[in-house]
Amino acid sequence: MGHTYDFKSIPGYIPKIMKAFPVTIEILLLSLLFSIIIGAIVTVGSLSKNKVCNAISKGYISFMRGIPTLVLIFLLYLGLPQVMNSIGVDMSGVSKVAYIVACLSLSTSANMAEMMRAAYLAVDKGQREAAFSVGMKGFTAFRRIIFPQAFGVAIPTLGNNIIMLFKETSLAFTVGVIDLLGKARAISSASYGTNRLEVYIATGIIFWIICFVLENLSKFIEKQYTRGRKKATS
Amino acid sequence: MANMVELKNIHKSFGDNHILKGVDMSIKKGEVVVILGPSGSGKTTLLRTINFLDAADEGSVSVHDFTVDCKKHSKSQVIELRRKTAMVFQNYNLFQNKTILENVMEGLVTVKKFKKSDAEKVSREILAKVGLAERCDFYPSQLSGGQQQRAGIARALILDPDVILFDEPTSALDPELVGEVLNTIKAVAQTGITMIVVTHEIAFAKEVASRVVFMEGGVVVEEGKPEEILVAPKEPRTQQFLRRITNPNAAEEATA
Repeated sequence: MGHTYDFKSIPGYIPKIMKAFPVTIEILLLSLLFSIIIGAIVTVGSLSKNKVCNAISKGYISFMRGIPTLVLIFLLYLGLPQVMNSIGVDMSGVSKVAYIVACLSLSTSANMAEMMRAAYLAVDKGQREAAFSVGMKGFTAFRRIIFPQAFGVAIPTLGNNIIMLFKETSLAFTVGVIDLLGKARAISSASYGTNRLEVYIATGIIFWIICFVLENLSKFIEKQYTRGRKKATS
Repeated sequence: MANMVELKNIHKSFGDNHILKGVDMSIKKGEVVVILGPSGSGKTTLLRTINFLDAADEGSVSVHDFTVDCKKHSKSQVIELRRKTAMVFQNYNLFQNKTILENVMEGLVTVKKFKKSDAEKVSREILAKVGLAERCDFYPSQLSGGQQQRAGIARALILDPDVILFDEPTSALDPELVGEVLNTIKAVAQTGITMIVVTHEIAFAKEVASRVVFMEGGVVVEEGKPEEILVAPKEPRTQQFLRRITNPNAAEEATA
């Protein structure tokens, strides 16, 4: 059976798919927020001199980086309710989006932690010493001297992590969330898959354009932020 | 008040490496003490134990009658001690994320709780004194080493500390920039502030120091007036060091 492709129809699908954009953005922003919070906690642990904290953080990072996000989604979405059920907790009220946000936050937090650790260590230790020498307390030195420099170092990696996270939001369709990819699938199914090539090309274009914007935004912000200064790594 | 800075029996090890082996030192108000010694003698470490950038393992540090025991000290004690001192670093260590003006203002705003406008006014004045009036809005990386170090000196001076610690302030500079920084330090010395300077600049020591301390192997070998120590040292180790530093060729011949 021959197929007829109608490439001219591709632009028309873009606005239809984009109707699901708010869902994708919601997943992206919530996952970003939580992954940064978890990542920061893990970073504190991985930099700590306490051996137990250190081992837990390193183990967490290693596990989360090693497990495919899709496996994590299936584990949490399918496995966790079963386990919780057996101890008498009903998880049927938890939304699918919440599961996806949890999974993406966990898996991305490992990358975020590695990013923060590297950025923190990239700031010359003389900067902290200078802050101490003028009489600053540890937290003040961190807030005013160390963090702003570490942030500058982290911007490119942060941009990269956000792009990866954005692409991973497409995994939400596997549990039936109508995100960008979920919407594309729905459109395609509604016409029994006859237009699936065009729909998925449109989806790919949407992802690519947004990633392109994010990438350049990250470069622009880095340039603005570090203008006039030397990078913290010297 | 007897002494501005008093160090008692300072011991410091890094791992198995015993760097400072019981150093005592008393420095009066207004004294300019220059510490000389071969590398590895512990002079920089000694300086860093004074403001607890490296906490000594044993002994005590007093600055302006405020004494901190090196073995048991609280964070707030260390901060109070540091606020009586200021430091000028070998690598300048200016805050890279701040302009020269902000570098100088930083301590006033965060530690001394100055209003921003007041802090800016006095910071500009002091930067003009070290010849950086035109460079206030530059970032450290846009300045030469000599300019950065003069800004570092301004950052230390503005805090009006009881003692300024200079850690090899000219060692990282290009030779032609050493002069401008030494001149700035000389001008600071003339204001009567207490200073401890670790340096290799013998000529500078001769001119500025009120006392020269020679260290080797983690102890003070000899100390006294610059004309005594630098011209007619009693200890053979001091003599050897001065020969080597003032005339490198002679030292080579001696070892050959």
